[in-house]
Amino acid sequence: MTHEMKKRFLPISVLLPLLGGLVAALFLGSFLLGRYPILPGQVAEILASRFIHLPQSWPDTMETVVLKIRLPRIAAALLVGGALASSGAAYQSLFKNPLVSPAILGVSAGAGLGAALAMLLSLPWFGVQAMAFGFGLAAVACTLSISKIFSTGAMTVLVLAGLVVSAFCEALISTAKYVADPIDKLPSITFWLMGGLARVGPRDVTLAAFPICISFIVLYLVRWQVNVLGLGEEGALALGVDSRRIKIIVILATTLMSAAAVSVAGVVGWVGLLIPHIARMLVGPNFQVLLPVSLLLGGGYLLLVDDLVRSMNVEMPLGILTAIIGAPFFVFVMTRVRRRWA
Amino acid sequence: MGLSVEVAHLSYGYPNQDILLRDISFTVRAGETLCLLGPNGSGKTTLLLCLLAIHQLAAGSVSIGTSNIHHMSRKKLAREIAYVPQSIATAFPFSVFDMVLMGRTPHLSKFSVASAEDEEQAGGALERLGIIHLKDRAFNEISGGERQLVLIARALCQEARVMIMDEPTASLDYGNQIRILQIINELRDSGYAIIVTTHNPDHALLAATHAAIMKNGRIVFHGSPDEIITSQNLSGLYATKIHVLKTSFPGEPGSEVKVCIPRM
Repeated sequence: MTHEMKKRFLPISVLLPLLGGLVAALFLGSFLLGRYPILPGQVAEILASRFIHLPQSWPDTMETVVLKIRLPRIAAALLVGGALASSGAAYQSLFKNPLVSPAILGVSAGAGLGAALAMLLSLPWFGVQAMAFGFGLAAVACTLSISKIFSTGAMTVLVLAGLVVSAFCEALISTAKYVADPIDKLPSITFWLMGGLARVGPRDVTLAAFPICISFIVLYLVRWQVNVLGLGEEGALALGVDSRRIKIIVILATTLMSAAAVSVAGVVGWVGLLIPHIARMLVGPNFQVLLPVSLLLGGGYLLLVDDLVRSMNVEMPLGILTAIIGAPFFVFVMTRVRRRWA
Repeated sequence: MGLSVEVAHLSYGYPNQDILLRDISFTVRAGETLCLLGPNGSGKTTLLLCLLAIHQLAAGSVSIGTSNIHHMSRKKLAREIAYVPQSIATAFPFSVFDMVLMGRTPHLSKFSVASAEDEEQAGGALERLGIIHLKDRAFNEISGGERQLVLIARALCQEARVMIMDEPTASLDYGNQIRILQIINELRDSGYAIIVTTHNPDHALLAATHAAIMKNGRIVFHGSPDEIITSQNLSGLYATKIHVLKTSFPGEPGSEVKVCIPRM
């Protein structure tokens, strides 16, 4: 049995504005959640007052809640979700493997190790994020170096090197937890590794936004070549694409993006694996459209999950909820696409 | 205007391993088809990858027109040589149209994507091969014969003047094999220089202007298909008795053709 692509996939000219509108509505709606009650009109006025002059008709406390507490968290959810989903889409296309997530080359495990060490050393919050970011990049650098020893250029070797580095970092994280003060530091490390946006401030968002945006632009610039890489090494070379250079560009951009996301939110799993599949179900595998759709879907999805977290009486770590929702949903997605994987 | 491919004293070996291809020389001009025959492991696909500059030569040279391919940028080379692989396994369901459109890659500038004009070219290639009705179907859901036609359409879309085809009839049914051979003849007549590998010597008789028989990384026979597709050559090559018989189409006494029949 065959299916026509037109019937299967939505036109991008319809989907992108629709998704953009939904994410914008979700963005504004997310400000209404929380203990401090705020009306939609007040949110719009406070946000608009940052760009145009408006007479202040709201209390200072409300402005602080909107701009200093809720806006950074909402923006962080959008950024982190978008970054993880875009990274996942890029890696799945690069590795030609639908089961690949942004963590495949060790960035999450490396970032986790960096954060755990920073907490053991009692570094301030910014130090924890910086160490997470640096160790995330270093882990991927180790993976690339190990794969180079074999000098085959095979993606399988790269993936195996990523598994080795991840396992090594996980072992060191366990060691850090083992020696950590069980009253103070062990809970901090454990909660960081479960992921969350509760401690995100305006500066965190600004710092993470820069590498994430730059990396996204880089991935978008090479969107055509990423498609061509799907034809395999020889196929890409025969079409004039320097596959080695494009692979390195994609890995660098994706690593930078994922490391920035993990340094802000901790380890948030499943977004980078699940969302690209949903995006592919909607628009097909063409990376030109898959990338922006993954960005919007990922951002919207993580914001929705974080809204759920914020609505709970006791705030649950974000990574737990993304896994609880993601795992069964992934099974559903697999049942939809299994025929094409065969 | 057509281009010729000139291979002179080509040798190749994987790094730190024995030489796999030795002293290979031939020329294929515009409007000619060279069919490479040889048993498994004789070096046919490796030779094609050398012609695409995917493998670096140990010695010798490959020229397209007057340019040595190793002095050309990869993009420029892809504008001159199109490659039709045996098959492509895609992990995700790219549409047939997207697959063909990728043939425009060598003509795109850095960071740009296909334009409406490129899309017209892709549509034109699909129409030329009579498969425009497949354009919205997923490449990994169409039949093997249709996939091979799509890969040829992609090569046409590339607008190169040399076409290299690696066993384009492998694993196709008899009807599709004949269709592919007819297309190869049409492309040759339109001015392409074509190099094609096959395991079936009948295909060399049907679609080649020249043939070369490879064994252990060397060309052992090279000439017109009539000259080198002989019982003696084939029997020696495949270590089994093969007869090359002359026959003619029923009711057409002058239409002499040769066929290869193994003695079982």
